[in-house]
Amino acid sequence: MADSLLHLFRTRAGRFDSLLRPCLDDLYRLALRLTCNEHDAEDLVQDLAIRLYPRLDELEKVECLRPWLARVLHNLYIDSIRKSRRRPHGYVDHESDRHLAELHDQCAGPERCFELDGLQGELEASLSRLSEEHRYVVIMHDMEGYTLNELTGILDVPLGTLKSRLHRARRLLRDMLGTELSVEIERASV
Amino acid sequence: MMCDETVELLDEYIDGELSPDLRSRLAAHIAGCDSCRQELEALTRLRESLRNMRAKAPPAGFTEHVLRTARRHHMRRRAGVFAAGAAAAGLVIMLVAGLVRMMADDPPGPAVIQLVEMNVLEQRTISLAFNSPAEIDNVTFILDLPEGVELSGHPHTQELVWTDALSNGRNVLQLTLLGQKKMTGTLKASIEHAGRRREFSIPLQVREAGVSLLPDPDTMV
Repeated sequence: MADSLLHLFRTRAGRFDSLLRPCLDDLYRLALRLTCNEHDAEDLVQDLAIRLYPRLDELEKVECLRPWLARVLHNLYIDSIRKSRRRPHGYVDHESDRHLAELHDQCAGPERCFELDGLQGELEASLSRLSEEHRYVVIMHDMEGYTLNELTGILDVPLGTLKSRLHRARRLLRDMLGTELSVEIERASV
Repeated sequence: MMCDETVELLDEYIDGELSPDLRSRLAAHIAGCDSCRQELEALTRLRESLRNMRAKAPPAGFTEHVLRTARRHHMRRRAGVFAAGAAAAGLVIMLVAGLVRMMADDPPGPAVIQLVEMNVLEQRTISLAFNSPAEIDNVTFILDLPEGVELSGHPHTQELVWTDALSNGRNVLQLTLLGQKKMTGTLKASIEHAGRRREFSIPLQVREAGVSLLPDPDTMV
């Protein structure tokens, strides 16, 4: 049967599968970077897939699916943080930055989320100490490769603000890494 | 260009977001300034390290599990809606076939099938309803159309094959048929799963436009 015919006849499940399957590994990695926890990352991606299934027609009209999906995933992650903030846990603090910092203190730890060596172990620890807004822009731009223009849509933040956050985040990371980074540079230049 | 200005622009420099003119001016400054060159090296090394931090791959079977769970979650919710929607569409004919027997390897019982009649160049929608005893993945559907009848949107095609999953309960497949020429024949719809196959024969009759659609005595049993 011709491909066009197959496409017309493909069922909802098949159409959904072919759209989402190529993106799931990327989405899982992004979810893992955001949640720092494999179980939460799996739940986040599963939640995304369940919510998107009834929106297949809309999904098929999206021109650039990867940043679109990243935006939805990011929004779901923010929602999950807000929900957890509303739960009466003992550690919840009403100052959002402090609360988020506490949430990240509960991250599984770098060795569980990333394949690391040398400087990267220090880097992961430093990343977890950044504020959410600085961490997001580093994760999505420097680690996952989304362009700043794509991030304006994903994070719903103006380009100038993103550049400023990126500059500040990199500066903070370099300050936190300090001599580790210098040693690595010297080692690389030998 | 001064050092302060250069350092402020290094992020955009490594991201390739500077204009060609500004980029060449900044490069010229870096070439002659050890301090700014070290800043650039540190920034570049940081970005390389970030980019090389590979997040763990998903666990084995993750993709299949996510897709299957999403599909099943939706199917459970959709089962009732699907049937109601089909009823609201004003069905011409409903064929109910029990998959229970197929799965149990019993001889298939008679499906409730009636003659589908239409005029030449007339469209008629039929619905095939499959009752499934469980959620079943990888079910193959085969439609074999007789000469003189086409599926709307698929001209000159007599056989259609595709794979889908069945949800627990009633699954309705709507087909819009188009009569092309006067004929009497049979549409065969088959479903296959796990090496078993069940076939349904749906008698079709296409008449010349303007001819009364009274039952043809030759086809009546």
